[in-house]
Amino acid sequence: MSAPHESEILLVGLTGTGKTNFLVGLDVVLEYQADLNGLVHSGHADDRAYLQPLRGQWLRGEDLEHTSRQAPPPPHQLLVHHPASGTHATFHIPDLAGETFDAQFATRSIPREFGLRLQQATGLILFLHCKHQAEHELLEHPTIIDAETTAKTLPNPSAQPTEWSIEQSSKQVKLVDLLQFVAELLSSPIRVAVVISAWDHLDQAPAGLEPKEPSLFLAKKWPLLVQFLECNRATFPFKTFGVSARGGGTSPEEIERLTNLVHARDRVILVDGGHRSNDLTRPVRWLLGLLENPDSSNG
Amino acid sequence: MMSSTPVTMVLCAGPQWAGKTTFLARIGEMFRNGTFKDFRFAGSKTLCAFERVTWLATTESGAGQPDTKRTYRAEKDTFFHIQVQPAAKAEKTIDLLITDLPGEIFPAVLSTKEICDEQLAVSRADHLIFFVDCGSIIDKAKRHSERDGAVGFLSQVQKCRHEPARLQVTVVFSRWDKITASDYQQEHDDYCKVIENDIRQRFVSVFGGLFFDRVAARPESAASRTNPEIQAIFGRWLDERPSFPLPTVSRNPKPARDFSAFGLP
Repeated sequence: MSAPHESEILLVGLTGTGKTNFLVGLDVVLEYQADLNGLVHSGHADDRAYLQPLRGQWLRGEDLEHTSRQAPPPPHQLLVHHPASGTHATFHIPDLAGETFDAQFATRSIPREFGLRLQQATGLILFLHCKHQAEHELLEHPTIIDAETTAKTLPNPSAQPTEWSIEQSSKQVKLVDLLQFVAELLSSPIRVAVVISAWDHLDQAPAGLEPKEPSLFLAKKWPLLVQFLECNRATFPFKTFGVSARGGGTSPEEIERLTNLVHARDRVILVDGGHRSNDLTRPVRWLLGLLENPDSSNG
Repeated sequence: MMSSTPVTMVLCAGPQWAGKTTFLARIGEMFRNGTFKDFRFAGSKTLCAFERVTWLATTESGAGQPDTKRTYRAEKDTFFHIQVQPAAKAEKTIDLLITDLPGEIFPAVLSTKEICDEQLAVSRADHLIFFVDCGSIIDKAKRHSERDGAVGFLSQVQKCRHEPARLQVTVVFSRWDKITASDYQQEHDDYCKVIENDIRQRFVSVFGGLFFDRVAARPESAASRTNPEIQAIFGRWLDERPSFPLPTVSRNPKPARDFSAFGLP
């Protein structure tokens, strides 16, 4: 058995991209792991004051409270074991509020603690929500708008636009900027697991409407981010995952469907290329180099 | 930045309202929506600038129709930075600095060589994109001035540039949709060809390259979209720069003066 080692994994992403849901879902999957190659809990950390109440909410199918930037969560750890390789690890996974990363774009700074953790981090999990628009929608001249579009409300040609402000920049631009910030703080390459959250929406979408393979979806919907990652693969080796940590929506019917499942872990959806499972530890294993066929990165 | 890494500098120039900033905004938009196929976005130090110039063309801005915030004189010598990789050459990364000469400076540059000399971007640029506004070409009262401005500006650049042969010039007939939508399309098209031939005759042996394109960066009709043309112009900026042979003179071992060791009397 190898000696336990400390690993720092950072969750980054803008507001409402599912970071906390992922963290709590991961905690549950570690406890009730079904995949023989997956990570499992090797014990409970001494301080679970942050995770334990959230876990209760998650198990009841409730919508988790939004992480506050003003009152950031206390430090917390996950103690994990990889039975297949005998590896033990302790994860420090700070759950920073999405506003922290939103603010980074405007203030041109990141919290000092985040910068220090970054320099020791094993990997980043970069979150984006499958329903979020990567880019602002461009206006067309009225003469270009086709019949299909005219069913929507047309903009008033004489409408007064608002002044541009930095906070209104598009989401993929903010994420690229964040990664550029990160790159300047790094002394060595860092793996990035790109997690497209709320994947259950895509599962339910009609076939042919959107790509249902995570890397294809990312390439189509977030082209600037993908191109940036591809061009900077030497700094950011990356792999894309589709994830629904909560497994469904928040309507009473959906909550009933989720809680009716015998095993809470079965709510989780994890898609990685052609692989599909409930193993939320898979992105973490890839970051640690513990995923089988680690070279088969799908980008 | 320019001292730490080789940079290709691009200067966009032309009269007010010719569409210089809209052209730059469109390049940013095409990268953000994945339209560029031959090049990949590798980074930018001016992401905010690209966002800002495109804002009035987004639904989020609340504008009724697409527009571009124009560049003001106070913003001269500010640059857009973009780093790209050719899709076919992933190992090669190219930094571009793109600036537009505010339209309100244009008449002064045209009339006074000293002001042209002051424009650092003119003396340093690897590529000059000169915009001929087709909105003026379709107006018979304005088209001659538009042609005269183009010829005059290129002549001024020829005088101000130390080595004009190191400059690649692209003349863009901008807002091309104004011509395609006109009832006199053929006549206006012919006039553009006259301008093109005139410029070619005067400058083909002056500059390192001379190209002509028709562009509608934000057209008023779908048929006028010119994304391939914009991509072709952008691709030219990434081409290898023409190399110039070094002088073959050898050092005079016994010069009359130190400064005349390389051939001066």
